[in-house]
Amino acid sequence: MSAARAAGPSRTPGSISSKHAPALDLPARFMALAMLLLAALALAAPWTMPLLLGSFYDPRLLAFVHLNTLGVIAAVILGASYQLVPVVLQTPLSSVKLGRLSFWAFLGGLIALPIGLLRGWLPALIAGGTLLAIAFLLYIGIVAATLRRAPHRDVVAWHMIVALVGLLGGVTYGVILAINKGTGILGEHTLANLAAHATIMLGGWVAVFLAGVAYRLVGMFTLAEEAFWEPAAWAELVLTAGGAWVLSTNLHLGGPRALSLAGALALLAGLALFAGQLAHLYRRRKRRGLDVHIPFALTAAAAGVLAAALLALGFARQEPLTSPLWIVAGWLAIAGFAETAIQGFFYKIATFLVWLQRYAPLAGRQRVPKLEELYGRRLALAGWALWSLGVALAAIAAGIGALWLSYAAGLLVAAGLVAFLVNVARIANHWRAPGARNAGQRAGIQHKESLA
Amino acid sequence: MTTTAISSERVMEALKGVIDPELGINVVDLGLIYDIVTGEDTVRVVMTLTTPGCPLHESISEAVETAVQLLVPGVSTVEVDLVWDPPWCTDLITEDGLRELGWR
Repeated sequence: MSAARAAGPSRTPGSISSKHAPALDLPARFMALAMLLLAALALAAPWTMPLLLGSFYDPRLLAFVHLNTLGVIAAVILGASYQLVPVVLQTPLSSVKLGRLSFWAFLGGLIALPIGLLRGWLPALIAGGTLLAIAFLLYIGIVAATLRRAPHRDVVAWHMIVALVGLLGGVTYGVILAINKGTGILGEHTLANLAAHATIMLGGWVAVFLAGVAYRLVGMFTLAEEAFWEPAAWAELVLTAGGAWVLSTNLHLGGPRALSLAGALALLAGLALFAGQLAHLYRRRKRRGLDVHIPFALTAAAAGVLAAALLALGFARQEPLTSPLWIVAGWLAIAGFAETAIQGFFYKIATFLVWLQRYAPLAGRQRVPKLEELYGRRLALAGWALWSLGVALAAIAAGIGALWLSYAAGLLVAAGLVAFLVNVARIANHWRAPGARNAGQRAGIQHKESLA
Repeated sequence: MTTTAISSERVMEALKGVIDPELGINVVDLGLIYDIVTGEDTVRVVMTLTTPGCPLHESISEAVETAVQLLVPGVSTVEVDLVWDPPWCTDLITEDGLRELGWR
């Protein structure tokens, strides 16, 4: 064969690869916990959606929200970042042992806190809050130490750093709110501080983290890395994180509404830039087929923009803190933005982890499945449609106070989650999958015979 | 390129069995193989990946090594030389690869 192309100076990248990733049990235990919680939320969805028609003070709504934010969103982010951060930064995780410890603290807190919220039982609240604070502080310490040792920090790494600072702020507000439950120190400012806690957690941590992950993964999945517009990613980071911090600090201090409006508008601009960047990458992608994560990611980005727009509208119209508009915005941020994005990226991250564990050792020896062959594509798209419709209907039901609509929304949300979880089970089944191994061996023999 | 008993075409055929599991395209049609140098009983594959941050770096290069070892007769040593210069770009994808990616 003549030389296909002249190779340049040979250079082995050495440090680039998943070899820096920790043992799979660390991300897997967080992911498994999140999937268990999603299964429970799917079963309960027809009964929990009507809670969105109630008040922030309803302990059932508070428990429901925390099962979503902690049990699903935080669990996936912690597990995914223990896996992704070392790979993205080409630096080993600073401590896997502490990472495992953070899981047990997180699990204990996740059990205790919702019980404390639901029953108004102070010891459970204190125990849950303390364990969660320990888990998050361990996580922040581990990831921060890993970031510190990274050979270079690009816009994605800075998203991780800024997200960690946002999480620290959110945990601080959470601790203040937990203390308030026992002492009542916040008095009439309780609701404003609850809003500050939610804003910094969802805007300053979750949104910033997910945007950073999306910037790294979307280009790679769709062969659109050349189209990535870095200045827009920097601007998005400043606006999203800046807006979340301005808004939450102003809510905490009880500052002027105009400043809250400015924070919400900055958040809106940041999330709009994120949505624009995603749309641009997908438009320019070289992988033309519709990858399963695309509808999830675009829906998530649109829901994020809508949630921020509702926040801005609420401050512009001086809506009272008891207005359903705030619950709708929160629901769109939690379910519409974060949980939709998580489902989409889960199809990529979980399949990759399973493939790496199960099929990477067989690659080259025999036929191995593609990542998208580990789950049902049509089921995934059906799940996306049902879930998205359910989330949208639940938001409308909460906005207009339609109880019957919220029950229908609950059924759709449950159906969407079931479709997703069936696919999760299929992916997990490949972890050992002897049938797949035999199929691969047969294909490998056929390939070998065709060469003979 | 040295002319020997080991055929480069045969090596390329063997490499068509190695896929990028994310994209579902073999490494040849994806344009990842830059050169194949064959010796008496040795093969050196000069290749790249779609991105330096590719988390599949190790498994793909190991799969390339394994495929050549197993599927090409007479090979005792395979060396996989992963390079980043010239960087991979989508222009390197073959017609078959583009079809796999959804380009009609």
